[in-house]
Amino acid sequence: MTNPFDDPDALYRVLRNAEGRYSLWPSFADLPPGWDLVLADRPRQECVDFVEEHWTDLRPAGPVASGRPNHGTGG
Amino acid sequence: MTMQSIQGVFAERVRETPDAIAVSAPDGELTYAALDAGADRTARRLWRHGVRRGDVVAVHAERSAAAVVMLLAVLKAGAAFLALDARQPFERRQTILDDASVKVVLSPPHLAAEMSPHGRTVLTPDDGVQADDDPAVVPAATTGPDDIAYVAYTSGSTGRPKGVCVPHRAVLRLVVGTDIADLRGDDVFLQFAPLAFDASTWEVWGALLTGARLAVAPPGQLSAAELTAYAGREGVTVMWLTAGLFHQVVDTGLDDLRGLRCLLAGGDVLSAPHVARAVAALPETTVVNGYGPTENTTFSCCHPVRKAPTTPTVPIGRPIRGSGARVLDERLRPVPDGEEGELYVTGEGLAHGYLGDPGRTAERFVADPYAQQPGARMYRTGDRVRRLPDGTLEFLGRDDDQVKIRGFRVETGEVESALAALPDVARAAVVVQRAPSGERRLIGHVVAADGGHLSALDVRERLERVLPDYCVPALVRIVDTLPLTANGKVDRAALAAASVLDRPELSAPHRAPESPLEHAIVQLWTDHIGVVGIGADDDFFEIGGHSLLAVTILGELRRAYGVEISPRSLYLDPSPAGLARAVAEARSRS
Repeated sequence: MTNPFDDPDALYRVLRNAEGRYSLWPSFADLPPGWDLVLADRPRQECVDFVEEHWTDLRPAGPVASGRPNHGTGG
Repeated sequence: MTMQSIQGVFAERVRETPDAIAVSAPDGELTYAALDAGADRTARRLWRHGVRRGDVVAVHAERSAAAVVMLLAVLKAGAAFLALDARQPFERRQTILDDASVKVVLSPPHLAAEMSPHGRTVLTPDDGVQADDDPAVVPAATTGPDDIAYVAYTSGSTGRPKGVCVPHRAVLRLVVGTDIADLRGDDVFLQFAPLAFDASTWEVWGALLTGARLAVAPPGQLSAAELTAYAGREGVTVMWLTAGLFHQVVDTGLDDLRGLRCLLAGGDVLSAPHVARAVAALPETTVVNGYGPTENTTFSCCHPVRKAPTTPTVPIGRPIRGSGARVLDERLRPVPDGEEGELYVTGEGLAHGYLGDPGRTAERFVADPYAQQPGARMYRTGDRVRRLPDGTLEFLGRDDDQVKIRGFRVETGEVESALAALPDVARAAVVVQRAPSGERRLIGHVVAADGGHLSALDVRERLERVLPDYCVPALVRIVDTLPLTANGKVDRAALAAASVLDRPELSAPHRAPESPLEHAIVQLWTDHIGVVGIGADDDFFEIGGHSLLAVTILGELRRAYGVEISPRSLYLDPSPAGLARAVAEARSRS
């Protein structure tokens, strides 16, 4: 049985959430809440390449990850 | 107050119990106040050398109190630590340091020389007597829960290890207010797991964020008996053991562990009979099967075993507080209870992903279609499970090439890539075989490039330079071709089925090889004869050697050591020890 994320012959999408995180997503499945479609129905490798190109910082976007000094009480 | 960081919670413990012992180890004992002050000094040194929030600082140290100070110092400087595994070959450590763009390595003086700088700064901890400290310089790090606390490297299927980036939030969810065990300030945690592996996250921060004591076992290899004796002497109450070691400890005897409140074991499938024996022998102890990938920070699910299991397997239990578990089918639909599916884990324990590898991160950390919180992610573990009638999960196996060898996670693809990258190797395939003892082992197969000549000894030596020892196959076979399936893929089933024999009963008692030369010769015999577990005094012909193999083996020794050994001397003293003596003599003559 092939995992739905590992099927070399299937089509995939690329999703992105509000924190700027990316997810590979099988084209057969509904769009999950809180995720936007940023690349539709392409071969798997194309989707992975797209993510490689566009996702530069793995940390969630927001006041914490952007390093603004006004956030948090510190260590 | 909301919890921001590991060092923030630690600071609360320092305020509460400054004089309590935080760490006891063969290299010394530290109170909470002393650990705090020592880590502050070294954090200042890191800060002076330019370490800033978001950096990754490598820690190269053996198990010790000093190592704990270093980990805390890195966090206090606002950076993430990357604990190197001293048992890993030099080249692999360099690969990992390069991958993580590490600029600063922290190491005790006696190990600092091992770290060739390669454009990096190697610092020793500030022991309080140097003149360059300035207490007025305070690292102005404001660490938040999403900042990375550590990077832990695991085997990667494409031949490159991958660095899992674990945020502070995930560690806090593991050890603060946890339901894994009812942790108390008077607990004593054993520290035995290598710092490069995330079981140590539980040990170190479980102790230090609870106000408990961390009892650090002496560095180096310990036998099961030595370990339990140490735990008994130290009054350890909370202990983690990888599955293989747990089984050994149960076999060796549990008398020293009667003071345990919580014995966690896992990292691989636990044997139900061993768990039953532990439960019976330790009536005051909660025995817990702990399950979880590094990507969800040490533990995802836990199963406290209250009475001896009567089932053939020990469940992996339920998700721990702060984590969730979904069992989905190949269309991402929840499977009915009792049916097999793939386990996806969710919640606060999720890592950010793989350092510098967004593509692989997006493949494994994926959108969670059933999340209450929109935009949440889940990690697909690759583990097959089913939900039992009591709601606990049972582990059924994996559907990819990841295996556990002696409790360590290994991607056979990584071993294959390493083999295929060696000079004169055209193709390689690695398969997993289960020994009659139940232990898994890797069997490597390599095909020489056109016109090239391969030596098993040479292949193995080169492999040991780039892979950790648990990734090096038990047996390396040099073959003419790899068998193919009808659609042209390597026929792994055929390779796995090809017989590898275990050492039969022989006339000589088994003696483990001792000198490096004996080791090398035993490996050479293993690879060429196809028998695993050969002893240093075993007879070449008794275990299946023959004259053709003798010629091959003597040829390998000639190329490796530049010595000519006559077949006659092998016939006269046909053991690895005898051959080692012959090689040593020939070398001393030349």
